[in-house]
Amino acid sequence: MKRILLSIVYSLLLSTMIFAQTKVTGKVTDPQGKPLPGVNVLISGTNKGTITNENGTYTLQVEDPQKTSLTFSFVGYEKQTVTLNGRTVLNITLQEQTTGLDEVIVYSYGKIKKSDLTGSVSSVKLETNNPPTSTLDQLLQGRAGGVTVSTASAEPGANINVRIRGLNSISVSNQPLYVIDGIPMDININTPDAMGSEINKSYSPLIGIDPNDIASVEILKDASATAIYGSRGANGVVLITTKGGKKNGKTEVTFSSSLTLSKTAKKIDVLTPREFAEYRNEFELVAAQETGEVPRLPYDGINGPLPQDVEGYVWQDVVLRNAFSQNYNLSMTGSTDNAHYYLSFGTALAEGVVLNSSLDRYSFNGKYNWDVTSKLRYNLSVSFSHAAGQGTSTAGDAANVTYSAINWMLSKSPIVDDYTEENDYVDPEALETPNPLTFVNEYVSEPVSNYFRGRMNLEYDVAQWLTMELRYGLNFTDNKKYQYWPKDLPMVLDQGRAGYATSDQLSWTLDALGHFNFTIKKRHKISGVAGIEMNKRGMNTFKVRGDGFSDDALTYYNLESASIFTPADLDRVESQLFSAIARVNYSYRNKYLLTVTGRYDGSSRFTAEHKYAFFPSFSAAWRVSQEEFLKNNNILNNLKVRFSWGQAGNQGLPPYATLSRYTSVIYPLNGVSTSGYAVSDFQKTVSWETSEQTDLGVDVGFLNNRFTFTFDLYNKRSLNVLIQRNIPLSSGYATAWDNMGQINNKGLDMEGMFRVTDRKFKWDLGGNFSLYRNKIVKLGLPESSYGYVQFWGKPIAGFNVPVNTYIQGQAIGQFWGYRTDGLFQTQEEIDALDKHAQEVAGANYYQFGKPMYPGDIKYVDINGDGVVNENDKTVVGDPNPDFTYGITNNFIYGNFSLNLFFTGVKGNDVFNANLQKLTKVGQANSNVITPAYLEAWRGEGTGNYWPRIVNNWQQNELLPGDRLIEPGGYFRLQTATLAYNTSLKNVRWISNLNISVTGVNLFTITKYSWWNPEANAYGNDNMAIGIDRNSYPLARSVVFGLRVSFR
Amino acid sequence: MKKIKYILLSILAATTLFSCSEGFLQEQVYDFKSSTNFFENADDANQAMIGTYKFLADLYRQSMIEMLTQNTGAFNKHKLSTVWISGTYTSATKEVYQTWQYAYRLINGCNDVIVNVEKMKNIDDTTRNAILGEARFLRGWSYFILVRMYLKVPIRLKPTTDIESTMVGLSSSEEVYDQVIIPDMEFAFAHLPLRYSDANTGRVTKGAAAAALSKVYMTRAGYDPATKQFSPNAADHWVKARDYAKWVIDNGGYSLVSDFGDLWEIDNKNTPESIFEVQYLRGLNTGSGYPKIFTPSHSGLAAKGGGWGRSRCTQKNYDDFAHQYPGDYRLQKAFVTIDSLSGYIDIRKNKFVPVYPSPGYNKKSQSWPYVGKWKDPDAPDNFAAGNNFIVIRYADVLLMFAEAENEVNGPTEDAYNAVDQVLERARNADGTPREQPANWERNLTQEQFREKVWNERRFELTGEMKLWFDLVRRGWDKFRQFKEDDNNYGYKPVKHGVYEKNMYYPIPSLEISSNDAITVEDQNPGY
Repeated sequence: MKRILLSIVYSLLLSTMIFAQTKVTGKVTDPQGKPLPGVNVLISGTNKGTITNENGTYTLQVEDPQKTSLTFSFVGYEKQTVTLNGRTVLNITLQEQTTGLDEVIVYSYGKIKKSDLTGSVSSVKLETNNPPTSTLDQLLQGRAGGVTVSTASAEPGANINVRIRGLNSISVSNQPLYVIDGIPMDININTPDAMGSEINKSYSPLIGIDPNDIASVEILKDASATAIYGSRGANGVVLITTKGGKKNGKTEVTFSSSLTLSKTAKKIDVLTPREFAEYRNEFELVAAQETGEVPRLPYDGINGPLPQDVEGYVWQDVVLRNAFSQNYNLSMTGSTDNAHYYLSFGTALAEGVVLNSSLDRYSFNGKYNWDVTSKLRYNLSVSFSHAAGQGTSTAGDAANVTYSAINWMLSKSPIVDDYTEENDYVDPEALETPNPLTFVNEYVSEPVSNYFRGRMNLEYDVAQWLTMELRYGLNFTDNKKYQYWPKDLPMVLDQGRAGYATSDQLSWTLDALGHFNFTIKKRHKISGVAGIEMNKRGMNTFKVRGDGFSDDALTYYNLESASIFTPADLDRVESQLFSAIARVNYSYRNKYLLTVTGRYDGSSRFTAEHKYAFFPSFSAAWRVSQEEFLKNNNILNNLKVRFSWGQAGNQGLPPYATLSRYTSVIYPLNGVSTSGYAVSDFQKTVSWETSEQTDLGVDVGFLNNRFTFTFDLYNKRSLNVLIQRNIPLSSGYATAWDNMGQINNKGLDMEGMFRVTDRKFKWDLGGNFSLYRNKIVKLGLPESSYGYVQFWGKPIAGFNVPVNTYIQGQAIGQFWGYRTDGLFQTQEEIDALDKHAQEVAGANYYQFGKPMYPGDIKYVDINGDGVVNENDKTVVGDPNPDFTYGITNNFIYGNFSLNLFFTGVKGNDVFNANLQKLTKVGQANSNVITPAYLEAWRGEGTGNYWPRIVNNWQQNELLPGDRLIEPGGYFRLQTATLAYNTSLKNVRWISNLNISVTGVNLFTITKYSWWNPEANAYGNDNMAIGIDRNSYPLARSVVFGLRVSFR
Repeated sequence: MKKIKYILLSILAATTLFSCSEGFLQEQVYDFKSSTNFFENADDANQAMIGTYKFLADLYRQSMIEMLTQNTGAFNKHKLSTVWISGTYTSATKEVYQTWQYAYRLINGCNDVIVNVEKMKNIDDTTRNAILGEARFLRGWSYFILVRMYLKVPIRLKPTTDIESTMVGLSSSEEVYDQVIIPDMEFAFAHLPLRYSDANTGRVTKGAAAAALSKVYMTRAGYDPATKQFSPNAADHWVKARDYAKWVIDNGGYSLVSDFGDLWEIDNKNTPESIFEVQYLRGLNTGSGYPKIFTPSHSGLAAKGGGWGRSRCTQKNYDDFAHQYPGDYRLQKAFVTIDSLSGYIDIRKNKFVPVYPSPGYNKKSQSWPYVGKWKDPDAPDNFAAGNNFIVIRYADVLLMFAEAENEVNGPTEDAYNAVDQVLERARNADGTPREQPANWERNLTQEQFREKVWNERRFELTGEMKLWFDLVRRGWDKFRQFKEDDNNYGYKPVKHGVYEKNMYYPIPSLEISSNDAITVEDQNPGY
């Protein structure tokens, strides 16, 4: 195989012949006759050319002035190609561009003219007046139709959920494939946790990328565009193109910086110190009444101060801060005769609003393009970034939700004595919850990620119609996580625990491609690409942890002196893909367009009989506006109708999932640790999940394309869905991978852009709208005892039961739980139910095995069997939105611009798990939200929502159900940017200056009661969706930006 | 033409490349073994067997403990309302499905060893049978736990290899005893060694198989909650139970450790008294949770400063013991005490906290003595203690023998002698003999002896997960009476539920909903 690759390289390296040269000159002007400097002048079909000088003139050597044609291009102007026909002087007037149709965009395995597209693609423009952000995924939010981006956690660097056209799958990822400069970015930034419990926090795979280095982002949505990514294309593809140098001969240095001030956007209303003291007193009264003892009030002026005299803290003011973030980038572009380059250095220091949470990134990016000969081009890009975070535990972990700074901040008793020398608050009552400030100050969790990306390609023009490309890309990441839990935190009280984990991953992709492009009889244009791709990923993980330290001083550096070690764990996982790909675009008279793609994928993850799969797609488009009857129309100047069908796959099951497995375990014999192998999985014959998609789209442009509109209807069917299904526990396993069932996503995407005015004052109004309807068509399971064909998501911490269910005929992830109907007001009411229960069930009316009293929550007996227990669960909410949208307003007046960007979501429900603890008035050792105490039931008719205060924390503890479901819709002014942009003609060394101020999240209109309606505690896990638990507070920020370009 | 040439060349290159893809797409494994590279020699068989014991350790780690202690009526919990004490657990309660799940994981592990070792070629018959004996012992034991707790269970004698074959319906306890438990235990009894070399101490032995068979027959001789009646073949079963117990006494080579307290020293593992012991090692994946579950918080007796005190002895259960044998050394060692006073030192305040019946105990929170058999102050985490759990010990077998002999022949001298050994050892308090527990008067009726030996088991084996099984095989009347008596004695925030359905557990809803061969109608009555 090596030999074949070498011979391809060798053939590409063959040099070219040299011809005699003729000089051609000319001047390029705009329609007003002004000279245009910097225009690209290229000999058509080659990369040879020059650019016009300050007077708009150019000089060029050509081989054959009869046949050669020149192509003139300049940003903002229509491209023109003129055949010399023997002329040696050629003056040209360029027309201003009014349409983006001739724009060439990056496409799967190549580039394509927008007008030739038959598939559904959204381009995200990274304009200069986009607000400065520190991560790329933030930039995608609300920018494109069909793309739902939600900030699962507002913590710096936290993962952001990107969903393209609904939810296709249940057990495997719904995250799109990111492709950077043609190389799939198949790495995972996250490191396994060494601390013994899974923490759900995960970092975005894109944290290593400085948004300043991004030139454009294309989002491939329909199967015509994604099928060529085969087994990885089912969730859509995001193509990221990084900036490169320009062939304009000038050296330009750009410095940009931004400073961000952030503050929590809202506060959660919990009891004040005085209210809390009253609550403690009332609780003790209730408790004493129950036991018949003499009450001993903690705040009666004797045992403690009176409630009005207590001192305390608003913990949210202590633990949350005004965060200050900085972002700097210095870039340089330039060129020599046959090469150009781009270099950039970036630093982003992001602080979170919770004390001691931050993420710092240092990055380097370099791109070098070299035209070795007129036929051979060589491109190299390398990028390195180092990201180092500091984090307290905000989300809590899977085993214990209360190991969270956010949780303690809200639930800690607000009554404390003065701040003491020991850097600690003293709680006079020593109520159970530990001190949140100790937590954020002493809990250590420091993730580090070093990310290297390298790409190299050789392009050789074998013939005018054929270019061969050999492309090699490498992603390497070395992630580490240092952690320490001090002795005074409850996780490992009086012990201390240190953990260290690493994961290093190397993936490489090798492509050998042929790009072809030719025209037959001027009417038939054929272009496309064909080739093969090899991909290999490997990951090593290592973790070690020690417990029991004499002191906390050295934190994790003291690991070697732990008194007990958990056996260290070293692991390696590999997977490979081998594929053949092809795409052919055919166009007839630029009116009728046809695209056929195919990918034949072989994946190491499947057993021999399922290793290979073929993913085809067909698409066609009719450019109606090119027809004679519309060609000279002044109103409708673009109309394209598109149709596509295709299949893409999801190979998302983890490597080795099909193999039987014997895991190394320890069983002590004779008191000595002895190793053996325990069977831990059986062999399975699972196969690919296939996503089949049909798309019907229309692109319209009116009034010289002042108004453009794109509309896509799609129907996506996921077949043979990979599900980690429950199997009988008597098998010795709980779940197994299986292909079962079908999921449909139908929806529509719309994008529109309207240029309202076009004089000195410009107003661009843009918007997008996405809607999907998701349905589990088939599950292939027996009916549950609830009468549904359903299975459940994963049990979530704090409830120990799943709160999402997957029901045949309904949308993915419905919330599952109990319905409630106010409170019991009188004993008679309960007695009546009791009588009914005796008659119907021959049992007492108990809710969950407990007797009820007036003031307790009344759960609904859904199945009518007289008692309330887990058989009364039902669907209580839906995490899927009705629709999502984004609106951009761009006002430009002279040098000033104002950009307003709104996003919104309508109609989804959120499971607010935070309420479980923060409404618990049955314990009184932790704080609660204000109405839970103030509006608590205190006798018949005194309330019908908040239950009575009772000395039994289990009595009215919230179970999964309607009381935890809240509407998650919102409308937000995501960003508002005011910028001043000038080209400073009088200053010799500055070419451009841009000063901006941006407000982020200036307002949000929502009914949701907690920090952030987008919160999603389980990130990308589809078995637990739409759950807010200990979410990180969403900030409101002001960003000051500066960008200067030096000549 | 030229174009065609290029195209043909590329196709040729692509096909050549694809033909070498086969090797490239092979999965390389690093971190585990797969059936392709395992069970090749005796060493592999041995490694697989040792690995299977891990499932036994998991089964005895947590869920089953609360189920079997708190549902007896003899144990309580400080926090209000628990499903175990009130008997209101359901088919979805975590412990209900976890115990089931862990038992079946052990069964599947054993099945995997059995099927693979049976067909192995590269192994001699003695080694093969010894390993098969171990696997069949553990499988039989796991089924023995399951039928007693869940009444009817799916019989699985092959490892899981595909999803379709996991859909197996429920079999009655009779079927499980006849088809699995007894053949497995008899095979184990025939092929297991009496002793192992030091390095293998802790694996199951012939004596364990005999003791297990004795327990199986005792159980079968008793009450069956499925049919709600005592066994019609009780007499035959009692004889077998007596004979197997006698075999252990005569041929097992076991003896009581001289000091009752020594049994609970964390470093005294696999003593001559131990017949079947689950091995734990202090550490995060290898330890046990017994100290955490039983000892008080802030006592320094378990990980993180103390235990949860989840299963605590009720006042009635404690007083029955203390009144029967005042000053019994076992009270001091079986419960958390300081200088023979019930209570512990709060390590935060460095102060003695009295617990019932010590004077000055808090009437609400310290009303029930803590079981103190398992203590590990150095455990690094909740389930990382170094305490082994003795499933069957010689004292248990002596009392089983006495009980069975009494059922077969009445209170014979042999029966008294067996009990005497247990009582005599109990009197040896740290080298100083005490008066109590005195040997029983030799004038008991069969019924009196039965009752006394039942109580003796309750005292001697406190907290060792025997009582619930003992209660169930004594029948519903005894079961109900025991709980009701306790409900009428001393302070308790929640009364024991007294339901017939608490003599067994529900089939887990997770099993019913994922197993095509089991429907909701198959659920045990009352759930």
